[in-house]
Amino acid sequence: MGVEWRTGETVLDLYRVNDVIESGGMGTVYHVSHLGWDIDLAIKVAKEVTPQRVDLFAREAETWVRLGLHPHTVSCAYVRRYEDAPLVFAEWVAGGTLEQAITKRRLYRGDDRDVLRRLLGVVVQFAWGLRHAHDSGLIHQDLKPSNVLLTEEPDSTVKITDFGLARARAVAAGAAPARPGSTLAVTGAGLFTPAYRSPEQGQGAATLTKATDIWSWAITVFEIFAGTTPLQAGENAHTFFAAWLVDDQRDTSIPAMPARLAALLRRCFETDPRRRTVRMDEAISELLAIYRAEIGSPYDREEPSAAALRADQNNNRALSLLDLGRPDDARHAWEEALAAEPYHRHSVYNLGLHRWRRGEMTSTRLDADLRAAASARDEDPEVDHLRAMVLLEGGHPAAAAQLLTGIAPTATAVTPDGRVIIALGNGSAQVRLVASGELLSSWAGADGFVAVSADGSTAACGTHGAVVAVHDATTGAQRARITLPAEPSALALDPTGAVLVAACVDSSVTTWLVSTGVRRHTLQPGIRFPRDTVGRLRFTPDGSAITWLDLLLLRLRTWDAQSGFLLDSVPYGRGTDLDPSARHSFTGTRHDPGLPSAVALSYELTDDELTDDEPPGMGLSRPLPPAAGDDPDVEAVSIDETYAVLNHDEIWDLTSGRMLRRRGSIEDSDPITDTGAGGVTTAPGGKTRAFLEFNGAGPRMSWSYARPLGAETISAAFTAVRRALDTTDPATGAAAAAALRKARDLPGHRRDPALLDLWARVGRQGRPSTLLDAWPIQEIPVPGDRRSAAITPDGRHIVLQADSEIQIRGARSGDPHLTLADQVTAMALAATGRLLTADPGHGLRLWDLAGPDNPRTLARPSGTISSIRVSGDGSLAVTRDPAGSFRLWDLAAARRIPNPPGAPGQADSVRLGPTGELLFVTDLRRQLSLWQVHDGRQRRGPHGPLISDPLGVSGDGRTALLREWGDRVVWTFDVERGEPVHRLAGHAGPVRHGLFTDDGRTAVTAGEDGTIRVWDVTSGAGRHTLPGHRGRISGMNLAGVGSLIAVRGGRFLISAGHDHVVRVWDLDTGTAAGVLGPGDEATGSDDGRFVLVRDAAVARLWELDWDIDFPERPLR
Amino acid sequence: MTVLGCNGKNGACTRLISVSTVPGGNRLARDNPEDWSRTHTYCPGCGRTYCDRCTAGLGPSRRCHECGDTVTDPDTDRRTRLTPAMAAHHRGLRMFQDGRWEQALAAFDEAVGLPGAPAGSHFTRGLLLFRLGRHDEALSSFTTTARIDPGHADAHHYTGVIHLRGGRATLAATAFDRALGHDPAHLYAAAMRMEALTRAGRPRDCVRIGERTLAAAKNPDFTALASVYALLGDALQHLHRDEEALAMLDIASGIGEDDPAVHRVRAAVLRRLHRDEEAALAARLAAAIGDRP
Repeated sequence: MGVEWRTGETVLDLYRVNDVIESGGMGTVYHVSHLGWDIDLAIKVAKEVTPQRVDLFAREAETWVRLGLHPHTVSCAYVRRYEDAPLVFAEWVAGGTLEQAITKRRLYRGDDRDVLRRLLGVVVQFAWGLRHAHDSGLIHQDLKPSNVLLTEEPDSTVKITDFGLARARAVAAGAAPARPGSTLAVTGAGLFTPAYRSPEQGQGAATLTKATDIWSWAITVFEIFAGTTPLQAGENAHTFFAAWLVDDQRDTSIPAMPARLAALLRRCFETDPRRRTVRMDEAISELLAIYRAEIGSPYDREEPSAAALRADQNNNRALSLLDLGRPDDARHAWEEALAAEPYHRHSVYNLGLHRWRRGEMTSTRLDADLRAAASARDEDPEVDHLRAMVLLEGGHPAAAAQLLTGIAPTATAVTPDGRVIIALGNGSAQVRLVASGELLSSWAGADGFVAVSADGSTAACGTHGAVVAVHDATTGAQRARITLPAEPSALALDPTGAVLVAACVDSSVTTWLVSTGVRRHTLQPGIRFPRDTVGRLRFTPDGSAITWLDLLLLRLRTWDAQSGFLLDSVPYGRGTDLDPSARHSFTGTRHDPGLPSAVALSYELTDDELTDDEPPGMGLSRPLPPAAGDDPDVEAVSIDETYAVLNHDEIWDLTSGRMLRRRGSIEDSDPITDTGAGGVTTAPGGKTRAFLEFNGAGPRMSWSYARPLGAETISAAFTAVRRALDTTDPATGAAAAAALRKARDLPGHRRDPALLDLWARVGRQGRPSTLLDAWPIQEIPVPGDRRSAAITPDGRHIVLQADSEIQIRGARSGDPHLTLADQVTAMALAATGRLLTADPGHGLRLWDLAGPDNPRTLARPSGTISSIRVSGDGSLAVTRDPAGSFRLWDLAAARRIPNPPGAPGQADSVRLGPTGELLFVTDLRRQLSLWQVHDGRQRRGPHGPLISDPLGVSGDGRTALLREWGDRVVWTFDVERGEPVHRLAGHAGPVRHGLFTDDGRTAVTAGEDGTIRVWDVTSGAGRHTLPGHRGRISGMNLAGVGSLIAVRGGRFLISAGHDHVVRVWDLDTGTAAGVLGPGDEATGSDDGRFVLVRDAAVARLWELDWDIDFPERPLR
Repeated sequence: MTVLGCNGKNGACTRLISVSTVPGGNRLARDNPEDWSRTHTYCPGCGRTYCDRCTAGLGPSRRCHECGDTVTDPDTDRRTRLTPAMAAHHRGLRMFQDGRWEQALAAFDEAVGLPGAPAGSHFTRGLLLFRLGRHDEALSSFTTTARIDPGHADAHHYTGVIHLRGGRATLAATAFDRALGHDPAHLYAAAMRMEALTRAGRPRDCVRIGERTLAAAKNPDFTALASVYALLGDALQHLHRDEEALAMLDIASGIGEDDPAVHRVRAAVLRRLHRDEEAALAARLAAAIGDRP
């Protein structure tokens, strides 16, 4: 095995070794500190695992990760492979082993009563830990005092460690695999500790059960009270225990074992495992009773609950599984993580990276998902780091540097491992760690070109003219100033930063010793004629050679770095020099191996001449990536077989077996190159070929591990959350909110779906006071030219209209419930979760989206219904045909009710008031009249300059918003008195939308001038003008979907504008509260928890997380 | 009615240009503004014409897309109106740039047959004839060019090239010397002359010409520059000035395309300098380059 670390060393770029502990059973245990997370971990390296059996070991060890979290088991964070060694990363427990506590007598300090309390406490905790393992289906097989750890005093929590490792070591050492149906494999001789083995282990039984652990547990308890290792061979424990109980010579400084405990152990020492029926549940009850009887009080520790793996733990587990070559299991673990916490940033990144590399998604999509993960938290630097890593791997170092530094860089350099990035901009240089974004150093006076050594220790950058400054990248200290023969046009440093090579505009290529600033070799002499030299310099990874790609001459030259001798000089491809006679051979290429740089790939645009019997890969010497599918279509391969176009439009990096991007993604704003290039040429013979220029692959970026939390923390959080869910009464309002806030602040539970559901119920007692967060949870395609999307007011369903087809889907699941392909001419959603549709074949139908009896037919087909409107309370509907005739419907009774007798027979538009009491009719002359539905009486309506269809009616039906001729001025209109009240003037263009907040005190209008105006209804005074949207605010559509949504409680508003942005506004302060990404139109659930945004051909459901306050005045 | 085609949008513009002298303009053009432009610009450099919309598309600098010259508005600058000979010359240039050799030659034939044909028309005609392998006619054109414009160094150079191909070394040398006399920085002429001098065993003269040309050169063509350095290096090694020769050869190999001869000479010089390992690498490289298709 190649793992031999020393104390003080930094390993795997991330861990500082604090101590090296030789463990008898396992091998070597390294006590390390994670440099990023500031926590300690134990890295366990098995000593007896042969390289051929690493996978077997790791697979078994991984069962420990799945054990989940419990305060009395040591948690395993993840398993990784390193240089053919499986590394098990586990929680570090600082207090030593139980064995040490026994032999060093720490367990026996104090008077008899104290000692007995302590010993019984250890036994109880030990039992709790073992029960958790058994409940999880895991058998330890090697229980003993040295596999029981104690945290530091005075807490001294007991934790069982090394789960699964006995079996892992056994399997890895070549023991027989588990028999079908058995729970455990044969362990193999020598892989458990003889002093603690059960009789069946001693006999080499083929199948082991939990009873084996019961035996070993009992021996360990026996040892705790004996104060010494009582046995040589564990299978004789029953005999020794019986003798010890009556032994006069036993250690009297240790309290005697209580008789009931002795009785329990006797049952555990039943030699036949089938008759050893003690279960840990039963043992724990007995132990707690013993404690109470002996100590005189109940055990003072609360019985902990096992915590389900949350998003962080599942993410880490997924990475372990991926490392172990189980991608499907890894994907499942990520899905579990995302179910526990939607848009969990580590999981979004890792799963996305995994899928991107396999060609299942584009980097553009991954970047969008990461941005969604950060949405509504204006700036999330951690997500920016992850986005930068995606950009870097995709070959966009400048874009990555911009995200990390916040400045548009003029030059960047990245270490080959993608760990360190240096960006030049605004006259200064910044050195940052990519994974964390941490600024390592910076200095001023940097300009032009930049280079970094492969080890990340040294940076070189231009200053002015021919002077290059070499800096220590970590500290920023200047190490040398070197005056080159002329202004540089490319720089590179050798892997250790000792030698600088510079290509200059005088055509010279020279090397320099950084330590002295003295020229070492002139690889190519300069001349007095400057030219715009363009090219790339690099050292080979081992530093032995220097390559200079001269892009003017299209030539790659190689020198020996040590001697400066010219080794080779070769033409560097010519992208469009296509060989017309080539039938199957891959045509020309031009790329810069190993660097994120422009690449030209020539290929056959059509492969008509290829025959079916052509083998996959067409003679490639390099295997095609398995992730590309069993039999990928090979469109083209670069001449050096670094890149290929597979499956029509996927560009793959064959060296690392990952997909870079899809050709089509150039349209998705993922530039194929930063400059963008591509073209088609026609070669003689009519064969059409194309060349494609794109950025090559960047370094393969690292996975994102979540900081593991202690089992105590997770378990306590889990317990607290369960308690909050069980005990919180939503009706208590503020008190419930306070309890839930605490629960949601517990680690891993911010987006706990159960908590969010309860939080939403509590929220109905109060009103949203702050937008805490928002994240997309569902995305559904909406095909067709004429499309709309709406969510039902209860937030349970979404209704999609694509041309004349209607689809009803579950909002959170996205599952289709109902599809109406009936040429629907009109539809409307009611607040009660019901849907009205009209189509020529079925007439007017009412659908109860949550109910079983669907649909109810209100009217048989008789002419076309062109619009449907429903009252705010969902009790009445009014339909209108293309000629303007309208009809009223009682939805509860599912029948038509008569129109008011004096109302116009035809209307330009009709709408109902919020309660269905009032009918607003705009006749064909565009005069508005108001009618009482129940008795058909006419109310006094507006006159003079006020016109037509009201923009909005307040929730109490007393006030309406009416426009003046010209549409730029809106009036509040007192419906009771039939008089205009306040003139709301200020819009610079026609007003298209208006609404009241649910308290009726605030009106909002929006117009084509791009502004939203907020008005005080009582005084008519303008309160705020909300700028931001450009152009017109999008209009209402046929389904009654609006682009202004008043969030319940009256403080917040959501708007979608023609600028394709969905915004959240705080009406109290007149400021933007957040952005819900791109979109054309939006609808929301009543409680403001869900907002459905239609973004071109996609409907995206957002979940909004509001903080709540509870005003004294109850909300209506 | 004169009708021109627009050369804008890299030749993709389909609009026609009416150059009507009728008062009020061509009616067809006036009634179809989508398809016709009634004003235009032309490029004095390459003769391309641009319709009103494509002219607007050239931006404020009004630089020709093809050759970068500033386009001229014939309607507002009558003085620059082309003579028939110049018009044919520009048409010829445009054909030449488009690779339509035969049509270009016809245009230049027309140009040189008209009064006031510029020396450039004869020279370009010579180039076309040379390209088409009609060397005798080409020689005549270059001679005519030199007669009209005795300082036309390129005409002398090509005269030398044709003489050299015809095995008339002395005449060629004279022509190259004339080219260099008029333009001491004429790298192509210098390279030809130096090559002949090397072949004639006159390395000292070769060095003299090479050094003088390099001293005079400004903004040189790097292909020719590499040749001059290579020939200078070769001449210097004949004079056993090995260190200087190696410097010249290294420059030649650095700025020019890979030439097996340069690396062969480098190998020889390095061997003489007892830098055997480098010499072996140079020889191997020369062989590798020579083996390339």
